[in-house]
Amino acid sequence: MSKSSFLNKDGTAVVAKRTFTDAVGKTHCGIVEWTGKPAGPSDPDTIVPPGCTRYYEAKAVSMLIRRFIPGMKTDYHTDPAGEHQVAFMIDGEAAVGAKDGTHFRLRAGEFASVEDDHGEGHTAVDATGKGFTQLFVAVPALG
Amino acid sequence: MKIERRTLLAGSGAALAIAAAPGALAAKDPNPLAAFIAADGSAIKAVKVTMDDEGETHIAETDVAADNSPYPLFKQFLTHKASRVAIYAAPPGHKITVIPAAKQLIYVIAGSLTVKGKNDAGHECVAGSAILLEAGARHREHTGPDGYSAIKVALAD
Repeated sequence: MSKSSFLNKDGTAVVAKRTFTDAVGKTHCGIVEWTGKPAGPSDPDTIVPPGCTRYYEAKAVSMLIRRFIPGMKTDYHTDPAGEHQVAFMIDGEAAVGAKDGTHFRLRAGEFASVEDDHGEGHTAVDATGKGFTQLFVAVPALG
Repeated sequence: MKIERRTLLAGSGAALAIAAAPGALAAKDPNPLAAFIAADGSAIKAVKVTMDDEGETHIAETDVAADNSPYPLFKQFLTHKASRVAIYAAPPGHKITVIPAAKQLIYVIAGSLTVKGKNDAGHECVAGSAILLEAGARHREHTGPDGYSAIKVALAD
């Protein structure tokens, strides 16, 4: 894992692998980039220290760190309605797929934006057989 | 959501052509991002920044046990309600005094920072460190030579 495995090539944005559902209820896998911008004092609610670069900031609902047992797999599922998940893979590797055939691997040091709170949903499988650990932050689906 | 132990991959759909090679990571170096997790998975280590009744800040490493969870297929840590989340990077040489308005978690994902209290030599927090800040716990944050990147969550309980 490289130190900047979560950044794009020129280091200007965080790259997150993404699950999302389109207007007709079909779920897909893709990529989203969160571009870095200077954090200033203009936002009174920010938790980013001044002088830093903010890649992503949002209201949140809850958080947890979850360590899945080796061999874990899910059926197609959606996450709680009205919530998206910002996820960071701490350890291990998961294979995530949608019914349309799109898929991705989420490796240690990478972000995911889980946005399919409705629709066909996605599967997640322990890709190494050793278990994996993720930090999840639930955010309101409408920002 | 139905979660079960994997017994075979067949039937998971064409999307999951994931003929993973078990043990593929075994030859790699230990992942520093996971160094805060105890070997048996029962606890994680965190650097806790607290404030006593006299308003003095204390910084100490602590073990955080897994939460009580009814689910046998995973263990959970630091389950909290939250009010805000940010992903950010601090540049090298960044020094700041912080008085968190609410309880916060900082999980360092790259680089390093040193967290200092008034009468404290400082705790270096490298990638893979979890830092728990108590509301009002005044402290200094000094970035390391490469700066640091982190996920910060404002906790609501």
